[in-house]
Amino acid sequence: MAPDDVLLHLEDVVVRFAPGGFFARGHSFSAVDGVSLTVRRGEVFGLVGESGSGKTTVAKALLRLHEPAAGRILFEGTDITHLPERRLKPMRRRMQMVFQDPLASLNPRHRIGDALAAPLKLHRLCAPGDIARTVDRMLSRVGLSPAFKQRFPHELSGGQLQRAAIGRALLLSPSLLVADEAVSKLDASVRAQILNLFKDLQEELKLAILFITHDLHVARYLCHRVGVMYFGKLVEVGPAAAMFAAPRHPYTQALLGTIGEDAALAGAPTLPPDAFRSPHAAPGCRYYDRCPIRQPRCDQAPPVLGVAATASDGDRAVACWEAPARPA
Amino acid sequence: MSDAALEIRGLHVRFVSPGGAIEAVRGVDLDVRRGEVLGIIGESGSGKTVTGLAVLRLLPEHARVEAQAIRLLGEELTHRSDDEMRALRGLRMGMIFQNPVGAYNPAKRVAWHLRRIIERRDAARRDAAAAEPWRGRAKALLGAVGIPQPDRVLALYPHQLSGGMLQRILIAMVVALEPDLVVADEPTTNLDNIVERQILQLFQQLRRRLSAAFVFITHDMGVAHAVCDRIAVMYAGQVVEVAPAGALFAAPRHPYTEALLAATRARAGERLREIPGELPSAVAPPPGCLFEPRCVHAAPGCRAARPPIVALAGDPGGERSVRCVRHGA
Repeated sequence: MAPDDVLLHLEDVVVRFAPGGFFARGHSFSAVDGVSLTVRRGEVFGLVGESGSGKTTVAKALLRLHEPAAGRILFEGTDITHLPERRLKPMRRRMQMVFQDPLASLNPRHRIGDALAAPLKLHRLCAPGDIARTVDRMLSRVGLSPAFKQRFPHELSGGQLQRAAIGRALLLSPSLLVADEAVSKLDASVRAQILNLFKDLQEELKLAILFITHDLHVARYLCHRVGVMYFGKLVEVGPAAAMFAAPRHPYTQALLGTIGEDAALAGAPTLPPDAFRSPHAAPGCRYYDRCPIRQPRCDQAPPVLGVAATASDGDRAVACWEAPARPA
Repeated sequence: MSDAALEIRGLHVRFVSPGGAIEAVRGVDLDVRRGEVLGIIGESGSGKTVTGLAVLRLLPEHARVEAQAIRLLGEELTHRSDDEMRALRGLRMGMIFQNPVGAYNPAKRVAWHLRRIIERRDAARRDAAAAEPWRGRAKALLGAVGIPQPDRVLALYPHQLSGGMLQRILIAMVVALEPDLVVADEPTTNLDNIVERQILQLFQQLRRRLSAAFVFITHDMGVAHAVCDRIAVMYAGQVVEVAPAGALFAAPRHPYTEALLAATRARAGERLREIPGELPSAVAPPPGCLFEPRCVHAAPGCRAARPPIVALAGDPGGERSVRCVRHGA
């Protein structure tokens, strides 16, 4: 990979949460524990995993909404891990976010037109006389007529709101769009519209997208590469097509086994129900308690991503002591 | 269909508000046989949940429910008082909802919940004396739904358990109740993929153990395919297609069903097909077919009148019906 291909690079990022509040007790735990990943220019990188796996925390760390406890975050070649707010602002323009609930991210008292114009004014990106035209152009690009400028967020449907939110993010010409469960609340018919909008915009603008989702169908449809998270660790990374065809990590295998084409339940791999031991407490692999191929050493030391990857896998990396020795 | 355990005829539900009356359910007829899982699928606003709640009589007070008939094992429910319905729900109807927390009393342990159902069931059957103590049966029930260390779990409060565990225990309670009707409304929607798969497998066990009529409400086509025998597709308050699950997914006949499947499934390299537009207004719907404004096959005749739901022409099993002028006898 040529270095200038790299848009975003996370290196051993750790985000720790201390139990807070009046009743605080117990220990802090690492919601993200030593995650390293790279997003290249113009690619859609999918971060998948179940709730609590830390995928949203990764996104918030790179937007500096959570301060990493350790590790480095490089964006467009600059180390932004501990950059002061003043110097972070121009960086923020280059990485924009689209959330799951667009109604919550739009001010209910601002008309859609004002909501889209605000970031242009804030970052002084276009002459005051051009703002209206720029907003119109973006609205039509995301499939909304200029009439929507006059409307308030509550007058829009979920799909229209998400179009407006995407438009607002793109007005700042970001190089990275972070989309956190951006289609999860939408109904099937509208979800297809928004997924296709993401696909078109991405191809047209050569945009990089960090697409966070629990929906594996969505990840397979939209993403070039996929990273799978389990309890704060990245357990497998690789091209989407290759990973969905032949997952290597036993957790990825169990996860992807839930979306079989035939949707039959009989032969599906089953996992024991949530064990009582918190995986965060384990010294070794966090998947140990549920893993079908575990060996004694797996409980002793955590497997490292990449160490286990075989050369023939090329672009793929697995954090598992056992998987590489087995046929995919 | 005379062998139906649950029969719904001419169900209408309106919500009256200052902005006007909203027609949430517009004349639904459905039958569910004993031991059968009928799926109701649709997007939000389709009326699928309201249909389920209307049968259970759990809708809020401002809902206006009208039905020609709602019969459970031949017994008419529409004339029952609210008190009689509450007693019936406690004994003959099992419910599994999206949010399992709401099904529990937060101040009571798991043991209290299971004990209540077991004892109520025993009292109804008048064989309490013959039965073994509730604790042993509660443990067996928990074990059957795959809960490790049942003794420990019995002593826990609902907030100490994950959503998947709560949904498992709820299924154990439905097994204990042995109802005639089970309504499951998006029971796995809040759960992670792997837990969802486990709960669906448990649901399959549940249906084998009980001889009830099952109504499974979901927006997820994959889930419906996996657990349902027959499926009713709802759109804007109407059932637009009913078919055996396999036949529906292999060859959808209503343009909406067809579009919905194409919007969720794409083969590698193919593009998801979008359904243009949005749901019609529930206050002022279009005059003819409710799907006509979004339909790729729309013709001038579609706007003339609401098409009735009719048996699919040329269907050998007689199991399929469609609400579309392009099909039908």
